[in-house]
Amino acid sequence: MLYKCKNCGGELHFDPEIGKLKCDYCDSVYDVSEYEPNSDVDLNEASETIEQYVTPDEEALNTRKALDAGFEEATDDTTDHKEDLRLYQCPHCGAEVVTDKTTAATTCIFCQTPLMLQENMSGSFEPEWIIPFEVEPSQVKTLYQEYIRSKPFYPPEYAASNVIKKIKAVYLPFFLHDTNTSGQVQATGERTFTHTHGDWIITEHDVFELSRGGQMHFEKVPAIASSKTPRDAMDSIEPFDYSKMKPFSTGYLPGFLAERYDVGFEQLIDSVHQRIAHSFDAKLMSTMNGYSSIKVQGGTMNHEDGHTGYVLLPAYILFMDYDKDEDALIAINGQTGKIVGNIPVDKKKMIRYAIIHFILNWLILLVIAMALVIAL
Amino acid sequence: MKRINIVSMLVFTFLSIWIMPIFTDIRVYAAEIVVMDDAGLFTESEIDKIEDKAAEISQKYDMNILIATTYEPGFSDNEARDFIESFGSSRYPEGYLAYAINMSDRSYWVDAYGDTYRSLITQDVADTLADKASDELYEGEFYDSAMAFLDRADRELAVSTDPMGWLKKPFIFWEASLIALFVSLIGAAVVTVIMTLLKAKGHQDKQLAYDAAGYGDSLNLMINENRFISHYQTRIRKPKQSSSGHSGGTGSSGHTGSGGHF
Repeated sequence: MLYKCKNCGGELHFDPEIGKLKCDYCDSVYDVSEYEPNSDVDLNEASETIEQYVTPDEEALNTRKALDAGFEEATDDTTDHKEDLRLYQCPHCGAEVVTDKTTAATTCIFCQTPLMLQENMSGSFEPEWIIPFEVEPSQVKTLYQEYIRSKPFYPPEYAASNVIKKIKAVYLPFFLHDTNTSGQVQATGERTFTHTHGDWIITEHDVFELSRGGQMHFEKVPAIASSKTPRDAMDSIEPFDYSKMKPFSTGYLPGFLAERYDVGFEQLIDSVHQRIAHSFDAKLMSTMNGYSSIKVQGGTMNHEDGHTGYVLLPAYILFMDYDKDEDALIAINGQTGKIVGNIPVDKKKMIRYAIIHFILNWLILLVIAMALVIAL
Repeated sequence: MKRINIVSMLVFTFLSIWIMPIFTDIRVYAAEIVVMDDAGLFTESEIDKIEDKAAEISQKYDMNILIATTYEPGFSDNEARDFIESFGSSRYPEGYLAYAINMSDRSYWVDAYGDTYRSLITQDVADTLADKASDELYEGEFYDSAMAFLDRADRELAVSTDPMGWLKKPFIFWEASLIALFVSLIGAAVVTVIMTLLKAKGHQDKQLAYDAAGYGDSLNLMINENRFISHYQTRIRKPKQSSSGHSGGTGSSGHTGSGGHF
């Protein structure tokens, strides 16, 4: 699918600054709804069952393997298995575009035309909502520079000038899950009071049996639905502002990459329930006040699962090829600008830092020590 | 002639009454040392060494130095103090710095007498001298105890007799300075390691989310029960205060002193 300017026929891309589709050639601006065939989607019409978002059946996909066209298979070092490629033809220049099987939106590498791949955005792969990018590509450099400066031992390869062009703007697939959680916890608590009597220090202990039970509603707990994107990175760039969420429209995609889900919610529900359980437990325990020690004896918990929505959330992704043993992904929240990554430590910088600070610290401590010698 | 002679005699008598005592009261003081080992705690060679060190301090700072050991019983809780204050002030009424050991009650005392001496040997200094001496006394090293007293007195006087003595203190007390240097090196290393590790740790931002606190509404608490089960008591004995042989004190009136028992 192409988004073409009604004025000059040029390619449109979604501009986060103005929140509209913009022509690269004549600067014409169009509202997303002008290109949305079903722009009046009712947010309340939502799927009721989790089972809808199951792991895709490959046989159901109508694709052509790139191997038949003579392309080499790509390998994913992080997952250590070969991935299927898909081959498409760019409708603008006719070039053959190779994508991953989960790609929903991309750009022709030859003519830079934004491409939307309908088969990965329709049916069960059609998202309900999307949060459009708010961080513009032009802001990413500044954000990254500030971020990398806060990591004093970053390797030269991570300098902004070296990596800025490798950062990709991607809409990533998430499930947002609602649930009502109820449960109880039983514990014993002790209150103590200490006093002295003669040569003795006496502590009085009162032991109580504590029972707490209640209910909590959790809304839109996110879970990344892509096997290629590590969960810790996506958990770390939370939270997203859901008040900016909009009904899904492909009009938000031009100019960005997009991925569809390849992990069904049935594989993610346990981790979501674990997060919810931890928060629920913590809330119940916080109601046990005034005890010097608390020991949990047991408890029960029940999750009444509600709606699960499939959404696309914005992120900037950078995969670094620094060291095979290092965690290579840096992620930027495309809405808030929050950046996370596990930046390797450059040993030379660290040693230089240590030597300089050792000398400074030693001089400071020496002055203090000598002042004590003089004073005492 | 006879009248002039009478007047001259009267004037001479008058002058001799008023002026002569001034001259008779002027004495030339030379700093002296006394090393007296009535208790037989030192050998001959040790006495010589103590005398040499005491003479060195006496000449350097123009001070009377007394080192004494005795068995003479006293009347207070520290018989070394009783002995040295009595003996010292009668021997050197102008002032002295003394260290005494009395074996009748196994006591020791550092004593400074005289305004000049007391201005140089403050209570803190006296306490320090007594501490240094007592460290060796507990080991039964009487000679080492006397030398520790003299060595420390030498250093303290080097600082207190010089207006810029505080600047020389790190060099005079070079052992303390060496320890300070060593401790500052170790401290700097520890602080640097901690700082560096914290900075390196800050390179790791990513972690799995373990809770969903930002996605939950408030808790609707439906069960909130606290039931008293039992009561019990525990007790421990209060720790005892440790006793020390060091008694400190300011000495009698006109004296600055410190000491104790060993």
